[in-house]
Amino acid sequence: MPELILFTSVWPLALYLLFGMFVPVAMARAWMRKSGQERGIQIQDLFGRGELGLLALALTVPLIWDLQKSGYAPQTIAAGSVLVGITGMMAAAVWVESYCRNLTGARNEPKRAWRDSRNLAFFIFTMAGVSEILLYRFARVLTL
Amino acid sequence: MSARAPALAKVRYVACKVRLGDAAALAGWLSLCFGILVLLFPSWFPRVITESWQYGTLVPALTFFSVAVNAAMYLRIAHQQLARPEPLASGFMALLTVGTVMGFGFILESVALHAQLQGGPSTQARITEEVLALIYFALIGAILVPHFVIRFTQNLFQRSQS
Repeated sequence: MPELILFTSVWPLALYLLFGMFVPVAMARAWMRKSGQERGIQIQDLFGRGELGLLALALTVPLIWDLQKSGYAPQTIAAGSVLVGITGMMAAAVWVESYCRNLTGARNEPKRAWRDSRNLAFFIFTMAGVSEILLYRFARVLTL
Repeated sequence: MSARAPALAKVRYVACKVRLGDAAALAGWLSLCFGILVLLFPSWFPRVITESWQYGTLVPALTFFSVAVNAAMYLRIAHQQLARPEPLASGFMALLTVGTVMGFGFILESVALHAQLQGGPSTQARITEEVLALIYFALIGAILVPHFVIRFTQNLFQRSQS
């Protein structure tokens, strides 16, 4: 039974990983090979300036949407949505700050932007997974 | 004139700067543990949470756990940055953590009341699920909200100084 819950609740999140991270890296590698470049492309090369923060923000929007559609009490929906929204803004702030620093020539630390955006994306991904599992459980209770 | 001996030289500390990425990593691992517990023990874990809430031990335990985890992380960050932990920031962080958990505790009470007033055949199961969700949000909020507020106030303080 836990496997079924895991599969039905969490598999859409795998699409974000696939289309948000792995497909762009594969496309970049294919482009490099096509243009005869020797250099290999890693995830950090594509998302090293905090772009994972933007991807994490994109993940928070459907999560808030799912919470709003759920049958939870209004207080639970409000608290969850605000918390998810704050974390999404935190993730986006990493990308925005890194972008603005690059644009203005201010002191920028790409390693720090990469680390922060990676940590925030990891957190939002796990939070989305747990929230989807909780939403699935609650929907089952409502059908009893 | 001879140079000052290194052992006598005054050590210059810098203020500890909290980064949101550190809090997010901790919250991510806690979130992962919570999810694994829900998946591996789908009936036992929610029942334990709900029973401890009914006995009134859940919110104090969560408060203690969150304050301890936040304090440990703040000290770790200070140690890594070779910075001096600020007593004001530590106290403010503890206060915010307690306030966040207490706030979620009040929401929990009102949600349980809301579910009981609605009635229906699955009221107890519904309350269990609501408690589980709110405790999860409280756990995450107790880690993130203090760091978010402290980071924001640090930025404001830096701007006003410059």
